[in-house]
Amino acid sequence: MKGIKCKRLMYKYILLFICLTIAEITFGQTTITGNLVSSDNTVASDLNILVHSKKNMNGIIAYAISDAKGNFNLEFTCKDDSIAISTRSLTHRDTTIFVANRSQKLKIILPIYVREIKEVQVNSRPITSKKDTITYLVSAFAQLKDQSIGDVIRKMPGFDVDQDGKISYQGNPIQKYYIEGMDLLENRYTIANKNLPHGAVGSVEVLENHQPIKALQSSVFSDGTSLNLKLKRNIAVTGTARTGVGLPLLLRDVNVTPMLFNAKQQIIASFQSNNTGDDLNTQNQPLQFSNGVLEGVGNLKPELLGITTISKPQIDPKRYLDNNANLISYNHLIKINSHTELKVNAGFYRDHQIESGTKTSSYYLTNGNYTLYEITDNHYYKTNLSTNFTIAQNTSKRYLKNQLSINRFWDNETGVILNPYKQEQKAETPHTSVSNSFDLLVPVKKNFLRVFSFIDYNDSPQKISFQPGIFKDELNDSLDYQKTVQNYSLRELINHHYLRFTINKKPWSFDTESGLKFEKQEIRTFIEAKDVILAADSLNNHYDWTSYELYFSETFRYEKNDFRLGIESPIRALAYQSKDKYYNSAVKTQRLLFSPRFYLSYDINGYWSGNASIRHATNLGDASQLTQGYIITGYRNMNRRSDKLDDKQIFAYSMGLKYKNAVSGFFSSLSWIHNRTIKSLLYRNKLSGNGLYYNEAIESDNQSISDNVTTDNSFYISSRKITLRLKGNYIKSNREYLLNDTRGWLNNQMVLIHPSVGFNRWTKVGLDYNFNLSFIMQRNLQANNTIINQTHKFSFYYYPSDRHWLGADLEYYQTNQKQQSGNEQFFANVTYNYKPNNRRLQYKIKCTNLFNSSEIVDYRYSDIGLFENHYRIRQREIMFSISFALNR
Amino acid sequence: MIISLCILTIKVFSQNLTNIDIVKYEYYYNYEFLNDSTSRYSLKSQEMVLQVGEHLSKFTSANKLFSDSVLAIVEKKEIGHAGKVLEGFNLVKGSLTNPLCNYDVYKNYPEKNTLTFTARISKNYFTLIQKSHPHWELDTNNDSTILSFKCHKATTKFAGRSYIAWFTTDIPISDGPYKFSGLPGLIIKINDIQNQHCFTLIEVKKIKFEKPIFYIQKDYQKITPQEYVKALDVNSAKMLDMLHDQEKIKSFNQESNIKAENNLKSRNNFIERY
Repeated sequence: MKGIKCKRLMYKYILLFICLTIAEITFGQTTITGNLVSSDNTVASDLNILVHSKKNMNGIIAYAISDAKGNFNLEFTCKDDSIAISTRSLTHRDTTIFVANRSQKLKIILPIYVREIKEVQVNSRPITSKKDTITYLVSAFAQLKDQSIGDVIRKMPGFDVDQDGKISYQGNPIQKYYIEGMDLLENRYTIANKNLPHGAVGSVEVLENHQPIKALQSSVFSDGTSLNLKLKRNIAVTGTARTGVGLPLLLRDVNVTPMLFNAKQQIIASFQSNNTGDDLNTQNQPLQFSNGVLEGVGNLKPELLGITTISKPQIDPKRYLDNNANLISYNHLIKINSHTELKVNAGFYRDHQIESGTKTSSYYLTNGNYTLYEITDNHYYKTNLSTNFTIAQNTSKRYLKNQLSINRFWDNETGVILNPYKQEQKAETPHTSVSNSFDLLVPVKKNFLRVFSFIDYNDSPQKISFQPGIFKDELNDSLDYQKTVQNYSLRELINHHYLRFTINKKPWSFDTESGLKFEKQEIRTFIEAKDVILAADSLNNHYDWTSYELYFSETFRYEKNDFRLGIESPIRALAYQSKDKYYNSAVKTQRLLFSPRFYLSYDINGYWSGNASIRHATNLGDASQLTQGYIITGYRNMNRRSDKLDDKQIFAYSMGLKYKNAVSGFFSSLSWIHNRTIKSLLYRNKLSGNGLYYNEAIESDNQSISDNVTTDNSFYISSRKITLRLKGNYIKSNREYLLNDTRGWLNNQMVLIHPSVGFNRWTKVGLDYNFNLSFIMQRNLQANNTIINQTHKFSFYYYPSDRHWLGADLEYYQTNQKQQSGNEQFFANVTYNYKPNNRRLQYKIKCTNLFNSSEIVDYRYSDIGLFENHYRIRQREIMFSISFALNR
Repeated sequence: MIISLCILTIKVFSQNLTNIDIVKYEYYYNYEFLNDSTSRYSLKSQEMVLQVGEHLSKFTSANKLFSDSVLAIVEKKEIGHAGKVLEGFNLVKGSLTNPLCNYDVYKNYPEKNTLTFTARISKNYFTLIQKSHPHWELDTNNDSTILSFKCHKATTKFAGRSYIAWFTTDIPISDGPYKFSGLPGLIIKINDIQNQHCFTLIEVKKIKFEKPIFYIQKDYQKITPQEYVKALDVNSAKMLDMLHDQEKIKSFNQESNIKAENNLKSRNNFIERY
């Protein structure tokens, strides 16, 4: 009986088991209902509840969203014994629990946690092009280590930024640097390029064939390229704020540069101060224009006199520049109404730079070489105030620009040379300049009338003193004496006015321009020995120069589809005279000159374009070449010129070919420039056995010929985030020279090869490598020199998270000169950067010159000798800096 | 141009904005769609924005959002109508909204699990309130990484088309472009299987200041989704009639006339179809 009962029970269980199994197989659905509660007992609504298989936690089997009471209901089918249930939300901590896979009721208590979603932005195509505009997305090229927009522009294919901050695109310097379409800084754009955080900029637009004058936009073509920064939405206030201190003691780096951009006004103000080798003058001095093209940072001031310098080594100036610089800059643009803008650009720069090193000079003499060894210690005290006031109207109805510039320099230089005798030099080179330029263009029916007027006044009373006295044979009857002073003052007034009428008959346009240039200069030089002015005529200059130039120029332009052609044919009538107090031969000349130029460009298709130009010009020298009395230009140099101006006949040919493909990211340019110059004066260099040298101009036609081939190729592989780049340059030049009465040819050849690769594929690692190789060969009567320089730069950046990064910059430099053994130097910088969760602050520790190298060797040559320079560089330094983002 | 100026003139009258929430995040989508279902070459793209607040969200065209806010500012200034039109037009010109995405979708508004759709066609304002989300099928076997987000696949049928959606649990909000929502994470990309309409997330932006979500108050006419699609078609036909009736729009020359006509004819492919 008992057995039967037992058996029945067993059947019952088996039946139940079977029933359950069937249920599992046929209705295998699990229903989990539940309730979510916050840890503070409030309802947890709108949370996502996910069901995962334990085998694949990434997959989602089912999901639910909790309702207003925190309830949820999950129905799913899964064969696993147990499952994982996780919750996700912005309001509570993500939680995962493991439960048996059966229908049940759950209550889950969740801690409150506010979750941030990281900001992201997609850039499917880093470079896009549309007609004449090519747009580069900044975020595609920026790395965590990059600070300013300039750091990013440097990496964009097609762009090049040089040490002075000059930006070139496909080999040509850009003509305008706009921020949101406004030209706040003109040719002082380096201050924005170095301080505007790249995070504020959405994209960089390249405007090709950009005509900056709106009235001319639809009628007169331009082959200039401009750049426009498009700021991100809602960016109004931005800039840099950084302060740093370092070892050795008292190293400092302060930079506060707030910026404001809106539709009505733009402001960039800046206070910067450092003694860490960051040259602030590049942010103060305007980049110079010549022939309508931007050139590197030029001094606005003529350096009539100066102490003997050591040529700068060919490495990053930050490695050797020993400075103590302060800069205050204020730039403000206000739009008074929709078509008029007012602009103030003011800057005050003060710097104390030290350069020290040794120089071994081998001068070529008629019988062998003269070698001189000098130890130099130079100090430069620079103070400059520059102000520009501009009013501008640039609309389709009118272009008006008036700019008043006032510039003042208070510069001093002191230098001590041991050779082995001590020679002290002190120079004062002040300069004042006041100029005004007025430019007005108005359309007259379909044509244009332009009135241009430029007036410039300059005053530079400069002098240099030498202790003990020099050139004693010439100046003090071969007796030793205390002190020599050379004075040189130049005062000038320059006027240039023209009237231009442009007739527009599509596809042709004609410019008829007639203008007047008027120059008046006063040049005075004299030498003092033992505080007495030396009266000898041969040591003095005192003359007034007046020149008039009347010119008439006709320019034809033709533009149809993708073909552009231009012919310029200026005829210049020149009259000048110079009245010299000491030399009776009053110079008086009248000349008629013709300087034609022809150029054409053709856009072969969307990718290829070519251009060519031919130019012939005759240039007459300027008044400063008429110094018939000797001038001391260095403690071993004395120069004199003749009463003739250096007549230059220039023949220049150029050709260029460009390729750009914004879709594939390939940019390439190749150009060739040939130049032949015939000059009427030859400079005779004369070296005397004691290392003194004299330079005199003599009348004798002489030639110089040069060829320059440049190529720049960059390729951005967007799928791999690799930028490949190859720059190359070949320069060959020949010119006649005269040394110690021997006339000969000086042949120079230079090959520069500069490949680089940037690798930005991985989010955690950034790699850059670039290599610079230069071969410089010189052949002349006395010597046959070859200098080979190479630099390898490798940088490695590791970004473990958004908050930290670690970087190493390694640099290897080697220079070889035929007779000398190789000189090499190895540099390393290490950087650690930390950005706490508060995204506004950033901390950085940087160690530069880790191996504490102390000097760098550099070889140079000229037509008179070969020079070996040992330049002192900055020692090992550790900087700690905090920066604060001014982005709103 | 003339049409858009007319539209603007109408819009400037009585903008009435109600502040209904504060924007926490803005999600920008690139909306690519075929203007004309018969032509592969009619691909248009428009930037759309999903503003997500504490309780609700608003989905609209980025241009429309901008012009609405500009017009709201202009409205406040005390200037005559002509001045308003001109000033407003100066600010918003160049950022016009394609008529096929000229709408606002408010999710969880006026109440939870419902959505409000508002739009204007010509001089008429329409609204409709419907159940907030379609029914989704999860595809557990597929995942993908889009825009550095790990995404899961889900499919649905909605208003005459079948869709494939990719959503991420990394952004744990149940929302998405247009009327799409209801997945356990934000929809990063969604397209119909014929690939005529496609929304792709392009930017996530945290809003750090108090930016309100506006509801535009109008004298709305209540309709159904089907009626809205019909109203779009009717409007196109009406505009065509207007074009044909030369006297009404004199300034159109022959060329722009033909262009406008083609434009209207080809504008036939609204996201919903019945």
